[in-house]
Amino acid sequence: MRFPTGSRTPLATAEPHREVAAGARRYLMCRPTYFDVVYSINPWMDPSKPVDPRLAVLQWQRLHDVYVELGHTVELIAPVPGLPDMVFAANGATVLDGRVLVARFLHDERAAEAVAYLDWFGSRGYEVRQAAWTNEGESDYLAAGSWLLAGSGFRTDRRSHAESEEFFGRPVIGLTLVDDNYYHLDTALAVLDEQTVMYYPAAFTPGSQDILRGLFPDAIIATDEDAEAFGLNAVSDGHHVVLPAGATRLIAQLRASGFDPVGVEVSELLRAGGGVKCCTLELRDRLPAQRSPGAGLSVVVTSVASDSHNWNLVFLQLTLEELGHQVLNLGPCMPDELLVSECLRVRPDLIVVSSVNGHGFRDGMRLIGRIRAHPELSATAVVIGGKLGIAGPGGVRSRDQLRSAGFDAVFEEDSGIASFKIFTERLTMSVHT
Amino acid sequence: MSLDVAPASSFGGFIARAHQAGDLVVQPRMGMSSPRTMRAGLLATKRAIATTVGTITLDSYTRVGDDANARAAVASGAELNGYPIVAHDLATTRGVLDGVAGPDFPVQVRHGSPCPEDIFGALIDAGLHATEGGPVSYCLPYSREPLAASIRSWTRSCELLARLRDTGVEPHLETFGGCLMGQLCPPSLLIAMSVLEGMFFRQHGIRSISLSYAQQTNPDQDTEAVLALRRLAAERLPDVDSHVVIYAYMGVYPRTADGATRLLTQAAKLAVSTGAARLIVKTAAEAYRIPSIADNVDALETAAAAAAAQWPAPVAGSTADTGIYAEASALVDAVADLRHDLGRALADAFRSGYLDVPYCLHPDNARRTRSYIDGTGRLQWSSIGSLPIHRVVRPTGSAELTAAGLLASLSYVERKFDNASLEEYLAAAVQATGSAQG
Repeated sequence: MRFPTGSRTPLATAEPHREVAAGARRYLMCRPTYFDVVYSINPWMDPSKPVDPRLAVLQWQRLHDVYVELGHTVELIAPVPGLPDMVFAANGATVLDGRVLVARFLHDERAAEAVAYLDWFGSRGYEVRQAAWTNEGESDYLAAGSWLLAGSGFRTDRRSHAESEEFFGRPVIGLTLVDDNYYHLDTALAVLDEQTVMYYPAAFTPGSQDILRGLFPDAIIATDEDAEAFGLNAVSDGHHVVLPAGATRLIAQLRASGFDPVGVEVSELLRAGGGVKCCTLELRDRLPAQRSPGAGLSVVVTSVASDSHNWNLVFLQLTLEELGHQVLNLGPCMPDELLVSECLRVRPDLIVVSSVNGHGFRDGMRLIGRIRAHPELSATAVVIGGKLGIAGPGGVRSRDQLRSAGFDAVFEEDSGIASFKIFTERLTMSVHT
Repeated sequence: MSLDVAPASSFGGFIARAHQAGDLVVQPRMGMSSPRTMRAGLLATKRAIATTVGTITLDSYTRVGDDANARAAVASGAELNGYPIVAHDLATTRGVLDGVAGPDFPVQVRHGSPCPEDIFGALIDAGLHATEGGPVSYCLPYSREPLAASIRSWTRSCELLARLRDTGVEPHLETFGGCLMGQLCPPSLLIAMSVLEGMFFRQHGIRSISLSYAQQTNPDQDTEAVLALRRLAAERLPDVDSHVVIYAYMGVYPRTADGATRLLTQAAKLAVSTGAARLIVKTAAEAYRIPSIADNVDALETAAAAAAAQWPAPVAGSTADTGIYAEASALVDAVADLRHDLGRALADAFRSGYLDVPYCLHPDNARRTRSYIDGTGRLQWSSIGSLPIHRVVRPTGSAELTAAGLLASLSYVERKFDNASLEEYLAAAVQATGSAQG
């Protein structure tokens, strides 16, 4: 395991003015339509005590509405009959930079939930796969700055820590849980912002406590009572912290540290051993290109709707990657609308359209109008190249037509790749100065 | 190969009889939009000096379900790149086949469609009962259609085709899974895909199945792969009539006539030495233009002659085991174990990266595998992503393919066969000059 070395100074938690922009978040939730306690896989669950499904739905709905009122987007995944714990969406997956590692549940009772999450993310174009080792999603994987804090001891297999490190390309900090009341990391620790956490030390092994003290010397420490009230099963947007209303001391501590706590009631859900955080999976989509000097461009590579050729796009991806750029390869047969919406989401520095079936000129003229119609993409560099006409290279005239329609450059046939490389070099310099 | 489920009048039965007689069945990839030319192409195939089956390859509009454009082209007499079987009326297609297709000359429809229900309907109406493709192999490489939609459509299409059995005909379906992107896919994934699609066909009622394998970059590796495919077919599809069909190389084709002919000859030898029963040919004109009927007949006769020269061949049994069977078997088992319903198992397998086609950019492909051609011309994995073969895959070099390396790999076969031809030509020229001087 990689371990951060000393130079980092966490923000003092006692700063009174924490007016950090609370970014709008995207959450995935699952309505507790089929919520029930019919089996016991943690000490909180007692199948002999009936749950009040109506109350569970009301409490869940209130939590949902709080997020919406705070300006966040809440997506919903359809509940599946026979999966009473599906309301705990955070257990279903971990989503970072638009990549999704779907859970592999320890208990057979919950195994089928993973299929629903695979379907949900798969049908929405996420890069998704299921974990190879037992891994209960965001309940055991919490992103803190550039690190991934990862729990183990009761549910998630330690071997999945290495898998997640590889999949997400982020250093994983493994933490071992020892108290079965706090069987998931998110029942014992909450990330408040990039550098601040709150946690309940007694839930961790002495070694893990040392790690946490080293990483977060100014963390908020929860009392036994607040931990038991599931106060650490909380959701923070960097400013507002949504947590059970019963965690009264934590609420006061958060306020003193400059956060804005929002108390909610989740008593009925707690009877299955879940709370605020368990109901909330954060969808951390791909971030807009992070630019640092010399880091290369963020490039979208694609083709036109009528072109199903694949190898030209693979070649361009490899070429651009070798030049140090980051490539999102959208592949062939790309409908105009989908290309535009992907570019609005990713906001690349450069859009490369490659076509070799002879329809590139026709399709390109139509496509560029649709791209330039969006003010957000009016200044984005867009180029087209390949075999654009049915009767061989179109020459100066078709090149001029494509350029006046809005393309920044046109690269035809085999000679195009050298001038394309020069173009990207110049663009890199202009973007980074 | 079990004969008892393949009646005499079926495509599978015809192939089985030819195989028993020691003949490799050869078949073109032929499709013309004009009914008259299509019929002429079928007749020429039938009359070629070879044991042949006929092919009707469909056009791109029909492939993507754009029948409006196909109909408009038919109405205006414009030429398409294949036969628009859905747009042409039934009488026209029956006219093309009348007196040509029959028990002595089965005709197969080749299409490339991820959603082929209309195509299946049209070919059944026309009295045909053999076609090909697959829910994965006709979705991933050539379309943006969601895999799940393709699987649903192929389920219905297979069931439609299977109902032909009620009329006393044994319908036949060939997997395209042994081709995928045409190049740079290690053989274990090709044959696993072929077997999985065959199992999918079987689950939806098809009882006469051919399993494809496309010739790759190294003859020894190809031989090992086809033997592994036959072994897997015997194990996983024991109760169906099945045979192996070889595709002559599907990547960038040699430009010299000599190089193209030698590549085709090598494909015929591969088929005979591995006990495959059928070969789909490519023509010497492939690299330049859409081949003519005469180009196709030449290729069929060249391949048949090469196969006959090879016969009777002891089936290759002594190839070195480089682990192709173990890898393919692990892939098939991992996918089949996901769910009883193979369609859903295939969808889940792609989502979880259990199946992952190198360099395929389809949105449902995980894109975590990569491959390369090693110094001996064999296809190797450079990254296996989440393929469940980490226990069986042999360690290979981890040469990450560069852009230049990709271009070199894509043209590997073309260069190998063209350069050899040029060298031979030069050597012959030097010899001729020498003897003239002497």
